[in-house]
Amino acid sequence: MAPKKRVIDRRKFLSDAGCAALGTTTLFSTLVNMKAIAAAALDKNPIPKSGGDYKALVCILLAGGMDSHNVLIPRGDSEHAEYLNTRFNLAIPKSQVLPLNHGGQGGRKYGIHPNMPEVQELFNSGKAAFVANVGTLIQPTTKEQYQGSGHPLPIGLFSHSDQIMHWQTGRPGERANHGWGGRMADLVQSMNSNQNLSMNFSLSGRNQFQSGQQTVDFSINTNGSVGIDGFNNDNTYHTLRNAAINNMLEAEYQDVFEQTYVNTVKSSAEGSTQFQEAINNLPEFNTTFSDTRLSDQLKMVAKVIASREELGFSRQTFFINFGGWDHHDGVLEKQAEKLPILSAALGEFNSVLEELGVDSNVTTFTISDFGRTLTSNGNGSDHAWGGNALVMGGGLNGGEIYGDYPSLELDSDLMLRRGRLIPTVSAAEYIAELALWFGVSPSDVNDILPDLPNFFDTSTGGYPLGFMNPTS
Amino acid sequence: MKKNQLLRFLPCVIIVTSAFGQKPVYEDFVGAGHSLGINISTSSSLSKPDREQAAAGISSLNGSGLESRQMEAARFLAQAGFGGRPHEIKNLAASLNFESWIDQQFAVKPTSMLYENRRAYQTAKELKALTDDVSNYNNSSRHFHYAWWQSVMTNPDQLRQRVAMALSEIIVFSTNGPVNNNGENYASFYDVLLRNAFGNYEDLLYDVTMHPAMGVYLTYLRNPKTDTTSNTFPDENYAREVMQLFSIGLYELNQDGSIKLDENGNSIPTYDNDDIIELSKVFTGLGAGRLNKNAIENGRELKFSTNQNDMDYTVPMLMYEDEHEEGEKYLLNGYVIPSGLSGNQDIELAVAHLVNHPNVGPFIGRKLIQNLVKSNPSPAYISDVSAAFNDNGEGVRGDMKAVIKAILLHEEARDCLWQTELTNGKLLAPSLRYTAFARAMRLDAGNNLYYSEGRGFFEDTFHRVLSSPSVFNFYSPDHIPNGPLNDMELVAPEFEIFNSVTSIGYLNQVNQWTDRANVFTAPELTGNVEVDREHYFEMARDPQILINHLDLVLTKGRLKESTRNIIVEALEGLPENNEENMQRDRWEIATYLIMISPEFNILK
Repeated sequence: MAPKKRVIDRRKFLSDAGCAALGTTTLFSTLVNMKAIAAAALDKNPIPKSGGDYKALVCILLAGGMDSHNVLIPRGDSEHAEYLNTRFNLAIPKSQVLPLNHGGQGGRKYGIHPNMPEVQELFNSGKAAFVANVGTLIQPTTKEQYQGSGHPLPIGLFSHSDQIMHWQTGRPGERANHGWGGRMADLVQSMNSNQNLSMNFSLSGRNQFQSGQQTVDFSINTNGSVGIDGFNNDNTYHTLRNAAINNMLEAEYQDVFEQTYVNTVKSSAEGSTQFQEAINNLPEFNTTFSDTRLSDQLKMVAKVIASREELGFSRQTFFINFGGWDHHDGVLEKQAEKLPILSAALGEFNSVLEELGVDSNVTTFTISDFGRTLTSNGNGSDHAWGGNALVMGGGLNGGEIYGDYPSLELDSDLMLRRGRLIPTVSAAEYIAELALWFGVSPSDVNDILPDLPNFFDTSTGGYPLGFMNPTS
Repeated sequence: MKKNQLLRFLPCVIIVTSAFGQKPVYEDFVGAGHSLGINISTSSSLSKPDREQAAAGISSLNGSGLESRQMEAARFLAQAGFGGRPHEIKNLAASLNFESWIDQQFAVKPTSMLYENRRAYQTAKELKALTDDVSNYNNSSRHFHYAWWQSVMTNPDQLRQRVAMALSEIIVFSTNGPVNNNGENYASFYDVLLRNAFGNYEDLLYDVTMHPAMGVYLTYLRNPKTDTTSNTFPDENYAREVMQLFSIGLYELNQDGSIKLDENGNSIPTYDNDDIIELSKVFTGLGAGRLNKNAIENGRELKFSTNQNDMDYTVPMLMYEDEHEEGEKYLLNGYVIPSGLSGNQDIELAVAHLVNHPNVGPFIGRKLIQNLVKSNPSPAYISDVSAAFNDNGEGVRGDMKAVIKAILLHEEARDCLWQTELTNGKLLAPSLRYTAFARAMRLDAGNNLYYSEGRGFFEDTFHRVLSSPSVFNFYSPDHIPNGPLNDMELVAPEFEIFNSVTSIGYLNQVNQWTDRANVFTAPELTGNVEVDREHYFEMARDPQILINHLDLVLTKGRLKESTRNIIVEALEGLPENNEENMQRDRWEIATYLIMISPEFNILK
């Protein structure tokens, strides 16, 4: 169990030259059919040294279904009046809404929840953007189509387990077992000089997003990875015990449950040894972090990113489940407690990425099960559909709201019973934008997201929504 | 080796046949006098013939070498309880009459978690008072966990407690939520599961629905009726989850658990969102059933708007008719609750209607099988359990006793041949690995208290009773891990919380239990509860005999020859200059390695 040395040797062997050396420079740094190229690189050609071409996607899952219409809030007179009329006792007064400076949206003005000043600042300085009324869709859908029969709709609408799955798999027409982060990793992992450790790091354990055909997450916690107690001890007792552990993990088991158990323990132990060595010698950050779990988690993400060269990664995804948003009850009070945690953590994460000089290499984005009903159930809101998503990073065309923020009138063309909005941007478009920026080829993006062609033609070479800057 | 394995199964199969066949064949032991002309070279692969306690082949026939019977008993007790203690395994092995064991368990006095919680709180408080000020020492979730462990370790109703735990992962309520942190609140909810574990599923679901802890957890306590002037509508939370998770699931099922398809080959949703809106009207008007002591002292008045801080969680919620939605309620499949009934009648009818849905047998039955026995029950197994749910043989639907027997006595659970099936088995949930260890070991607990809050264990393994991150439980019943299980399209729920943090976290828990022999720790107790290692010193003089014992009580006789050899090699490498140290180290290393072995962690 000494993979570290091997990694360094391999990194030396794989020299510094970029993809250009392969003669496949493409516009927007897209890597056409990366898998083949990367495989070729591993065979005989150099692949890019980690760092220069580094890109990471950080997924923050707001599990439970965040009431995002109290995050991105209308602040024009008539729009806010409409919002107030619909949301009634769930509404936030206009005077408290923090203004966002944006264009578009037909001149209508929007603002952000009063407890999110850091995100307001990120947005107004062009480092954050919103996507309005985004949700799971198979095809563009009207109210008539929804109410009629035969129009394809996502499986299990309004259900946590299904919608949270669709956002992570990008395939709302089926119960898919693999996520789009995992499927990207299947294609991209071979680009990394590190072939022993998954490029998909999770701070929240197993998740569908990062699970691919050949990929599973590497789970860490806010202290880093977990190693086997006594594994570095070389007294007789531990030497004997460690040898036995190794022998047990090296053995092959005919039983598939047993083999899966052993595979997990083995790859975890090996990964931990390698990972902990890489991050042990990092200098402290100048950025200070709040004393919250989310900030601790993002700080650990920053440590991994800071160790990207040591670890041998040029592409990575990260996953954090910041849950607890299923506010059927007390939505105003509970959001007022949780949103500052999110806002502060994002502000800190942006600072540390700037400190590391990689803010343009890292894009952080939120997903959530669904938006919530605009009407109240007393003092909370229930499961709905379209909602607003938040993206952050130096590689954004930030400071804008993408998609159309709809009317919140209860009898509008997009409104279902109890104030459920039919999405006008599909989750697939949102995901595709991030995947294309990450460097996945248009054809591979279509492969990962089978419903995308119903919304966007990747062969145009552009991006579906435009919130990512292709040259970043 | 192959021969030994074959022989190990041979008596097992005979015995199972006798237990399930129409007539009991050999009651006492394998041969029971029928040894004439039967030739067995050794009774099991457990020990070498030249060692003390080694069994000769004839022992299987004359009844003196009954390891295979004990293995069967150990396996059963791992499914039907929290892991067998050595003497329990031995007792059950004598008869191998599993049905009679179950019947005895049905009759055992049930655990009251509320009683255990109050007792644990009082005891811990008295102990703490010896050294500390206890004026601010309150009954909290910690004392629920103390009570849970105390019950698992000392109360005889193992089957009831085990089924209640399985139910707690189906009808999920979690301390990780908005319920006030008082051990009584959690214990009272857990009592609903304990009380109804051998009752009727309809009563269980009704009692769960009326319990204030669930009312707070799924936000229908103080859920008012529709008020169109303020665009306020009934909370849909419980209406959705009671259908999706606690009764019928998302799709119409066949009785064998497979998903029904329409003529176009599509699955058929059991309900749509309008059905949820309709059912949500039923769960309006429920409020506190009683004020708690504190609220009474403060002169509060009991009313619909009484908030959860003032509520006594140990009595059911009360229906406040003025706040209950009036009128007819149009439920699934054309069923209408007429207008004019009381709120409680609405709820009774709605719960009965759900439990009468044909999905409940296969939907809940599959989850119970997955929790107790195996991740991938065959369609026939689910079908048999559904049939028992639908009719206990006396025309009663939802009888949990019939369901439990159907699960635990099924040939897929009992017949040893199923152990060799690749599709058979499950990863033991982390807490069940912990209970199995604690119950299998001779412990040194001076005052007979087995208190643990399990906080470190939870952080290391993501698992602890009533600690799920959401109503969707720790893991999904349909989770498919990557690798060989995915290739075979097998689900393995518990693997969803088995990752690079929790797999090694578990190893480190085992290290604590063995290297330090420390099994339970509570700040109120002066010392830890430790394994009485000396008890094993005599066995440890011979590594094979020590491993034989651990193999029986932990791995149910499934330890592979190769794993055994790995352990023996480690044990024989220990220096022999100090015999006591050597015996202690042998116990520690052997137990550690068996506890982390795939044979222990995978229940077959």
